[in-house]
Amino acid sequence: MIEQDLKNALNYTMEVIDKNGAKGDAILSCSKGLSLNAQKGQIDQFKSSQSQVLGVRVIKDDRVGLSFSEKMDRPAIEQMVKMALENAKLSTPNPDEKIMQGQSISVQERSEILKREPNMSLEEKMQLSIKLETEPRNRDARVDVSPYNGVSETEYQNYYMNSFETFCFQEERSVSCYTSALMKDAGINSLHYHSMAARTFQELDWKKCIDESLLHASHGLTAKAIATGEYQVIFDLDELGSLIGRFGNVYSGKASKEKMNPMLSQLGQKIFDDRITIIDDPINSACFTYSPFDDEGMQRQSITLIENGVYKNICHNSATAKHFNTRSNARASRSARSSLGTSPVAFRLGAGQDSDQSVQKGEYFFIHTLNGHSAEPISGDFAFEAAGYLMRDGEKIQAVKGVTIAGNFYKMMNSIAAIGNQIHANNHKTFFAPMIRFHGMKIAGA
Amino acid sequence: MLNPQVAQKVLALAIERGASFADIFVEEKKSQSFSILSSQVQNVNSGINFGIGVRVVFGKDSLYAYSNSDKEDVLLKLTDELCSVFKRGEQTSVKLQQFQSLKYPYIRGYNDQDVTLEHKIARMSKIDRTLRLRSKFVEQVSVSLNQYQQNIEVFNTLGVHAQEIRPYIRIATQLMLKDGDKKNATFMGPGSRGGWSFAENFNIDQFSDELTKMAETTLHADECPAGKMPVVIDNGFGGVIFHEACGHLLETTAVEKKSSVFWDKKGEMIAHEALSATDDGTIDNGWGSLSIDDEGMPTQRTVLIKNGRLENFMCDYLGSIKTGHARTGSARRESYRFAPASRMRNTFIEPGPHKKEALIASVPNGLYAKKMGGGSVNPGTGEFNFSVEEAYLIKDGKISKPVKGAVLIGKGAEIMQRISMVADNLDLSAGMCGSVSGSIPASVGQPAVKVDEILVGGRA
Repeated sequence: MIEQDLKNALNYTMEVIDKNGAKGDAILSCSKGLSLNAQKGQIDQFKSSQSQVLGVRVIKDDRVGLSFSEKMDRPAIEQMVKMALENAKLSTPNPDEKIMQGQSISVQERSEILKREPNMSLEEKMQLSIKLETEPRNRDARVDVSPYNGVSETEYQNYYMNSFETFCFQEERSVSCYTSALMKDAGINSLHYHSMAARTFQELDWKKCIDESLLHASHGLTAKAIATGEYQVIFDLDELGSLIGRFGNVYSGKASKEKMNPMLSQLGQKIFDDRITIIDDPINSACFTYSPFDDEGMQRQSITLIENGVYKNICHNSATAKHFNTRSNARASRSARSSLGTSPVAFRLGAGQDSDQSVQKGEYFFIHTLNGHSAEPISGDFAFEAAGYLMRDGEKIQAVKGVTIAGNFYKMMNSIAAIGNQIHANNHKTFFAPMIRFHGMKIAGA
Repeated sequence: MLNPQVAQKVLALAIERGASFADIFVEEKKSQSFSILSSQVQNVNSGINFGIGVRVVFGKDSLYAYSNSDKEDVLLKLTDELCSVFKRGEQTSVKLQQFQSLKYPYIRGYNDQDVTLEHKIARMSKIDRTLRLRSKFVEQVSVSLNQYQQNIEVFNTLGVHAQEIRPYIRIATQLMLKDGDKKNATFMGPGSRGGWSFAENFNIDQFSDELTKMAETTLHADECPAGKMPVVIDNGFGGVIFHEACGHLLETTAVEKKSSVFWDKKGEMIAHEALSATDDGTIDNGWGSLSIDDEGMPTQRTVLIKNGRLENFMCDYLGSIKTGHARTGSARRESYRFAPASRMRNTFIEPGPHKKEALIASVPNGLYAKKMGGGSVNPGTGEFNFSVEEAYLIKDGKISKPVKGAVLIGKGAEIMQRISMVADNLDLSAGMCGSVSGSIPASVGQPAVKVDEILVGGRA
């Protein structure tokens, strides 16, 4: 529900900007949350949070200035706008960046986004938290402890307003849970962590968190490195989504403008295997990053970034669109504390022709965990620690850990052995893709 | 920042409702940042964060809540709600102590009155210009200045009322090179706890030479071979190996859950006898230094490992209650949005007797990791990984050709036993450490060390 006090703060911000002869926009983000962790069968940590931040962008004489404040009284707003105007004086003029007339949108009535649970009491949430800690230990005597576990719920409100009276509001809610199993057997330790997200506690598949933690921790006790060499690889969807996200410069209008997109010169050309299609779909309400308007107040639609391997589009805000002499596709991204950028919202990969069974035919390395930070978006090179299973025809042959996977992302997307014809969601419902099998992946191990 | 009478009422309410301990963390954070990108001034930003966190402890159980408001009624309501969660209604013999106020010496902050933003922009622009002149392969340069001043105040039921001003400055620089089809981006981000004088005294020529050499070397390097081999890890950011492989496992945050492989190893040999390591919060202008920790306790120099033997853990209030180990002034948090946890400050391997050249000369075939990148660790198993930003092969005891794309993986407990030689060239580097209480400034450091065997991941 739109809170009038907060809308008044936004209106006053616009009034102060206008009095100073500038144009501007403001983002106001509020969140309210609860998180619980358990140890030894009782609640160990309880955290209740409530915060808000207002961020302003002003443009005067083609110069952009930014400022933010967590206080929303009138003197704080006046001080914030003053700081933004002072900051603007020192920035290099940027005629591409303007405040745009957007569409006023409110998504507070979307029941599938904001699902209330009046009957879920604090006591029930605490019991769920305790279950996530105790059940791994109760179900397997080798579990010494569940060191990382918890339940959380968060409600967000995001407001956008600009000098052209564009006003957008979105309210959403999400809940999540996670647990872990630290197993010890014959001097070997194995730890696995699993998390899930949903709109409501009723939809939260907490039992799967426990099952997955126990399953992978158990296999981890006997896991060993496989021989160094080239393997065919299938990534767990959470890991594949994360890997694709690390090379997001390819889809960024801002990175393109700043010469940080290594593939820009190939826009319009085939850059990936012709079975690869990548769509950015922010208006899929099943997706947790559902977002009907961008951070310039523009209404979003889905866009095709890669179509049958051909590099079709990049994400634009109004400034990058003007720079490249095209139209914004409503992919402006900006938080209350940051500057204007561009970003895709929700990747959906197109389905292929192969059944999931045929994708899993023969021997391959299924990777359920990638650890590390070694991903360089300009060269496309990456190297990570990996864990998972050596598989044959969809069946586990051997649990694997203590290996690395190294490659080049842009070459990897041209090294496709098979693509499944079924679309699956990752555990956090932020990435939708078929099962993809890559060939020629370099694994270092025993 | 918070009226002490309001703090007193909040803490008194917590005790009245049965808490064994309570504290209040007040934070005001003023920040200023801008970027020089494509030689243009962009993203000029400034702002103020303000919030208050209240923690109430019942025995070993902790409840935490925060608000942007400093109003008495808001804080009392929030405390009352926290105390209602467990519905225990227990009485406590704890008495609220009178506040003993402590203020720590002022270190010049980001808003040095005599330094204008124009001057700061001019100084950062000089880095941009210098880098662009250093290499014919420059495609893009990004220089960002991030300065903030965190003013904190802590009150607790033991009578602590402590305040500290913490200024930080960091220069984040990325250099992107292109030579035909070869492209790469290389990052360095030196920083200090302190004000503008760090940037004023910063040697731009030396920094530009170092970053350019690293970027050009990597641009033209061959792929790193994969396999197990001896590795010499150079000083400074090389200390990330100890930070990830061992440091996180010595925080009581992991020890109290028994999720650290070292939780019951105090007094035992956990590393090669050549290795001693320290976590020191008292280093002047150290990136991870503090006068007081985020529970208001004066910080300390904590010996972690002495000649291979585990001497101490890093411990906060709850860690002490749960494990019995003494507090070490190690309670840290990103902001008022996080409850404190035991964390590292400036953590380093102590210098040894050898010259770096002796370490390299002792390796017939291996890797010289000159500059390390980031990494992570699984505390329950000690399995870690980290990337190498600049690396060379070692052949017959001499540094050979540069290689790229190396990643090192292993288990902390095993690697600590395999550090067989330690050089005398200790240096520290600034980094951001992410963990249970958020992202905090922390230094890593070491002299050059030789690891007898570690798995190197690469593509060759």
